[in-house]
Parts: sequence; C-alpha cells; structure tokens
Amino acid sequence: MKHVSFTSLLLVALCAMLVPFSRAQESTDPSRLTVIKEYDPTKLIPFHISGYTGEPDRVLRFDLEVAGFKMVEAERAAYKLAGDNAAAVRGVLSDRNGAGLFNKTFSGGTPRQQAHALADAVVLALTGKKGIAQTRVAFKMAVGRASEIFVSDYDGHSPAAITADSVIVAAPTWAPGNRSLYYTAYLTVAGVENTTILAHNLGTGERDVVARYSGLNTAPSIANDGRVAMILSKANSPDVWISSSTGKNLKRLTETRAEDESSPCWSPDGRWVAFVTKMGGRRVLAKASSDGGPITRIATSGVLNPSEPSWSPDGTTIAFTAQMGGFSICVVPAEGGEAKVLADGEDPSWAPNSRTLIFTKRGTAKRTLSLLDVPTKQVKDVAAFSGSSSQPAWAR
Amino acid sequence: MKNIHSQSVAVLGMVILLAGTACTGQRAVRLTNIPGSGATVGGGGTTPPVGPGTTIPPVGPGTTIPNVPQGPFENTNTSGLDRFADAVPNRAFFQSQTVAFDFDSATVKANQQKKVDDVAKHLKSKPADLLLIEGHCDERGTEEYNRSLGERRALALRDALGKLGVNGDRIRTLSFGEDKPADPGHTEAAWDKNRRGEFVLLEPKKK
Repeated sequence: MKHVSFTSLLLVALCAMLVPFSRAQESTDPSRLTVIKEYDPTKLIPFHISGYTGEPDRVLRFDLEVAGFKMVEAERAAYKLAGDNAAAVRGVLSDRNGAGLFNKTFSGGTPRQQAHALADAVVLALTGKKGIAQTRVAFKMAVGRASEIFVSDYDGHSPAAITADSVIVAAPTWAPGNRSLYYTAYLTVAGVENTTILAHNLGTGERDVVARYSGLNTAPSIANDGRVAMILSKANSPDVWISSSTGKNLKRLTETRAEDESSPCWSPDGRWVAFVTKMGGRRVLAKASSDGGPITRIATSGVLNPSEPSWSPDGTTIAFTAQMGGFSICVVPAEGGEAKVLADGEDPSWAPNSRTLIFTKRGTAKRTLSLLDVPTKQVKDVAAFSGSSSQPAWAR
Repeated sequence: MKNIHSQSVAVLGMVILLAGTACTGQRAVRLTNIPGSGATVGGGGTTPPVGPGTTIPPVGPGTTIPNVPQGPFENTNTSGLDRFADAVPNRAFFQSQTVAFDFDSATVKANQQKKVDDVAKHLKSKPADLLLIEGHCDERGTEEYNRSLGERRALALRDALGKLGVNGDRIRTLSFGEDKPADPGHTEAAWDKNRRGEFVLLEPKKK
C-alpha cells in the first residue's frame, strides 16, 4: 500500500510539472441529458454567463464569442451558463425557460484548460459541433532580424518556440496527427544559405530535410495521407511539386515557365492541390489533380488578386486572401464561384471545425493574429505576442 | 482508497499520453553530420512554454540537432549547391549593380540592363568566380506570393546573364520575399528600394 501511495505521489508531481500540456477531465451529472438544438450558424447566440471569476471567466467569454455567441443580459439570453471556479470549473447550462441541458465539472489540468473544456462542452451541446477551444496553432514570429516557429494554444496563450536557428523561417504547417510540423528555414550548410523544407517531430525534436534543392524550397502543405505539396524552383521556375512525406518520389505538378506559383494546399480527400498562379496576366486560384494533368481555374468572382488558399477540412470551402489596395480574408465554394469578403487581413487557416479561421492582421508596428468566425463574421484578436507574428497554421 | 487508486491510474494514463505528445523539454544535443559537407545543423527542438506578451526567452544553442539522413541525400539535389560551398561572398563588389523592379513584376527593365551587363562582363573575365542572386520584394503582397515573386526576379536576372553568355551553372538564386527589406519603412520610397535583385559575388576560397 505504501508503495502505491508513493507511486501516486510521484505521478502527481510529474503531472504538476506537465500541467501546461495536461487536459481537463470532464465529469457529467448522469441525471441530465445534453440536448442538441436546431440552430442557424449565421445568427449570434444570445448568451449569459454568471458565477465565474478571473481567468476562467475571461476564457469562457473569449471562447464562446469566437464560437459565435454574444454575451447579453440574463433576461435577453437564449441560454445561460451558471457555475463557479472555486475548486474546479463547473457549470450548469440551461435554456431561457430554465430547463437544464447539462451539469458538468472539470478537474485536472489548469483552471484555464478546465474553462476551455467547459466552453467546448457548451458549443457541442448547442451547435452539435465539436469545439476548438482546446486546439493549438503554429505561426512565425519575428525575433530580432530573424524569426522562429512558435506553437501556442489557439487563443495565443502558452506560446513555445519550436525553432532556435536564429535564421528566417516561414510557412509552418501541421502533419496529420499534429505530431510534427513542416516549415521553411533559411539554413546555412557549408557556407551555403538556402531555403530548406524541414519536417520537425515535436515529440523528439528531430528534424528531417524534406527539400533543399538549388533555388527556392518553400510553402509545404501536408495531405491527410502525409504527402507533401510545396514550391520548388529546381526546374528553373517556382512550380508546385508533390512528394512523399519524407520528400521522396518527387513529381512536378505545374510547368508554367513564365508564371510563378505559390501557396499550394491539399483538398482534404487528397485528390487536388489548389495554388496561386497567373492566367492571362491575372493572378488566380487554380487546382491540379495530384495525379497530374491540366490546371483548372477556381473562380473567385467579385475580388482581385487572390492568394494563400486554405481548403476547409470538410472540403466545401476555400478561404484565401484577396489583394485590392489592402488585404481581405475571403471565402469561395471549393468548386469556385462568387467570393465573399469577410474581414481585413491575410493568410487564413481553417480550424478543424471548418467554421473558424485564424489569420494575420497588419499593424504599423507589427503583424498580429486574429480569429474569425466565418458565419457571423465576429473577429477576436489572440493574446499579444512580443514580436511581429504571421503565417498561422491551425492544428487539426 | 479505491478512489485514490483510480486517480493514480488516470494520472498514469495522462503521463503516458503526454510522453507521446509535444510536452518534452530540452533534450540532449546530438550532432549529425550532413553528408559530404562536414557540417552540422543545429537549432531545432522544443522549448518550455513562455507567457504571452513576454520577450522571447533565450533558447539554448542547438537544443536539438535535426536528424539529417545518413549517406547521400536521396531526395536532395545537392549537386546544384555543392559547387557553391565555401565560396567567399563579396557583397560590396556589385553593390551599385542592384537591380530595381516594378510593382508585382519580374521583368528586367531596359534602364536596368547596364547593371546586368557590368555583372556579365566581370563574370566572363573571372571564370572561377560564382554568383548569388538574391530576389526581394516590397511588403505589398502576401508572404509566400512574395517569396515566389522574389525567386522569379532572381531567375529573370540569371536568364538575362545567360543571354549575355554567362553559364547558369555558375549562378544560384535565393529569394527572401519581403523578409529582408532594404528600407523598413512603409512608404512608396521604401517600397521602390525593396523591390530589387542583389548580386553577391562569390570568390574562390584562397588556398
């Protein structure tokens, strides 16, 4: 018995050390049932929160606003969340008539993580969709004259540097399962500074060279089956190439001698790679089959100079940046059509819910990251970082 | 007691789960040679989280060394870069030959041709010299669009040198997109300076 209790003490100590990465555990009062309501995602959900203090209170409000909720007075709320964070974060969700929808308590992790878990539970109960409050993002941050790849919670909290090369880095993207990141680094080897695409295992810290050819090697995008799409100029023109997850079996997808391609991204079914090219002198979004073949334009009617496509995980929509004076975040049906302008900003990346985008805003002093709820167009800024931050990529 | 036991099982599960995720701290340095170059690359790795809004903590030098494949790079055409290893860059030499470009264009303008002629003339007179062409953009484009545009500019200059009889194998290109502005300002004047191609003379290492 003594041995067991020592072990659990040790484990508790270990757990405490690892708290930033542990997860809040949910327990639900079994006498209550969660009810999923029919709901229109373009309408803000009038919501009221009571009983929380400090950080859990701020986290709950932030998470729910990102998810398309609007905080209102109790009398005007369609749903209410009442609870506290005295010992653990707990909450009772009820509708405007006071009928209870759930009663949940969260233990383990930090109060911040417990609040995120409660927010996700509310989102699931009322929208029927899995929440995003416990997801993470990767991005590039300027550090002095160089930059590093960082990973943080989706709201910008708990940022951690992933690289320490003190060189320019760019274009982080996640591999399926979120165990590794791919990105571009301007690495110098034997006195030769060159763009290099690296695959970085976040568990072990080991890195593999995916592409370091003569010329440009950048903008990796990873398919759900692990294949890589990227921009290489080894054939004397910046073109879209695809390869295996390790960079082998290279295949050139575009052979436009006169035009430069950029920002390839996979369709979730792995059949298509969308990218930026020029047709008739105009910048357009286009796609090519990953088996090769002709390039097809993806129409983005109503906006100009599209770039940086991001294909939604559910396959229906492509988010991108339009450049018309400033930069605008837009969405278009994946097969092309009328583009919708949603917000000022650039370089959108989809959350796993195919509803929320993270993107870059340009200020005069630096670039910052913001979150956009596409159906309601609500924008929330993530926590401020010390350096100019851009090229966010959502883990999914 | 049963309750405590189930708690420790839950904690154990959590620890096992964590072992497979990104929760590792600093790791031992493992040096891996890059085949054929005698060099190592450092600087990867995972670091402890830092608070938001704080300055970046000093990240230890080479906390983890990347796992560079052993043997010749199967997937990397190093032959294109090997030739440039250990060449000595001379940035000052072609400083006044920096070529300016129009907005969103990689066309070498007629009024910039004289600079290309000067570079070609030197390279033809010094067959052992090599050349790096760096392509740069102003900030009025998205980041990866600009990285491709900067490469296109560098390649356009290499083509222009090729037309003058300089072998393209002596030239390599490097695009910085908008990441290395000559002028950090946000004005037309700054943008004019930032849309550029820079020639860096690469001289043979003195024996």
